[in-house]
Amino acid sequence: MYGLQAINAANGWAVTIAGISIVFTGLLVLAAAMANLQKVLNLWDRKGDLLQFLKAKPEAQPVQQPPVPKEPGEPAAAKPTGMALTSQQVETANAFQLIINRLGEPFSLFQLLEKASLHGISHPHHHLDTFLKLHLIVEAEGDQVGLYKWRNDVQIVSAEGEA
Amino acid sequence: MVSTRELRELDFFKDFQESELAALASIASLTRWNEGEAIFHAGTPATYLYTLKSGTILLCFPNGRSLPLREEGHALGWSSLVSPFRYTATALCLSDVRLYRFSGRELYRLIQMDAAFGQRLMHKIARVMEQRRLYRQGKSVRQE
Repeated sequence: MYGLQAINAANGWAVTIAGISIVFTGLLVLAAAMANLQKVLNLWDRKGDLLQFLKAKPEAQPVQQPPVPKEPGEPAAAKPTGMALTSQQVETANAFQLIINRLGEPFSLFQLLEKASLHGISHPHHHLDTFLKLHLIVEAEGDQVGLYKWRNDVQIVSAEGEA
Repeated sequence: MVSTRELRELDFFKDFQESELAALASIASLTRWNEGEAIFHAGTPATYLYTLKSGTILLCFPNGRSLPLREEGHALGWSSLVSPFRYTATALCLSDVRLYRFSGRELYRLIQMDAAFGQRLMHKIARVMEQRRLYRQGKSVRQE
């Protein structure tokens, strides 16, 4: 028995289709894994924060109290300074903060730039210049001159309306 | 070609006389650099002195400390005039940058021809060196 008859007799068509399906499924899985690799690596970078978040005990929700009218001369409570940035700047600021968490404060701007370039952050030099001009990154004092700190008292908000 | 008027506007050259500015302008050239480019690297032979016209430069010292320069007239590359003639920092452009560039060899030629000019220039260089001493000589930061 030869040719198509032999293929039919030995379930050749079914085996071929099964083989093609297996190979293509494998390729699909591989492509999906590669497409999402960046997200997995970002999660890996933030593993410290995530562990901290998971370990944190849920705090008791404060009971809602009706607002008490303030006395005329009473000073207002100190609020963190807000700063509106573009969505790209917010994204870069978040990435910079993750790198700084790893480097520890005070940190070296050169190391920050190196790590930012390594992580594929676009235009790290330009963004560093912007953050320095906005005083989001400030120089340390005393014998730590030339090293820098991230202003944690500044709350970054997106100019497009996202936090 | 750089004009005397352009140099006179820079803080670094404000004490220089008109003839000295003319001599400096004759050896100066305006250079343009893109964001992210390195103008020079620490430890490499220092051949040029630069003064900033526009943009932001980050001077990165080998000990991990750094100093951003963004004011017009800031000088960098003083090592081109001071032994051992090797840059003490890496200069990175944080934005698009324009710099006036002076050859160290040409500057030495001017210094040899005019002692008063040499004294004025080296006085300025000494001031810049002193301002950046803490950055240069500070304790090294840890490497990750």
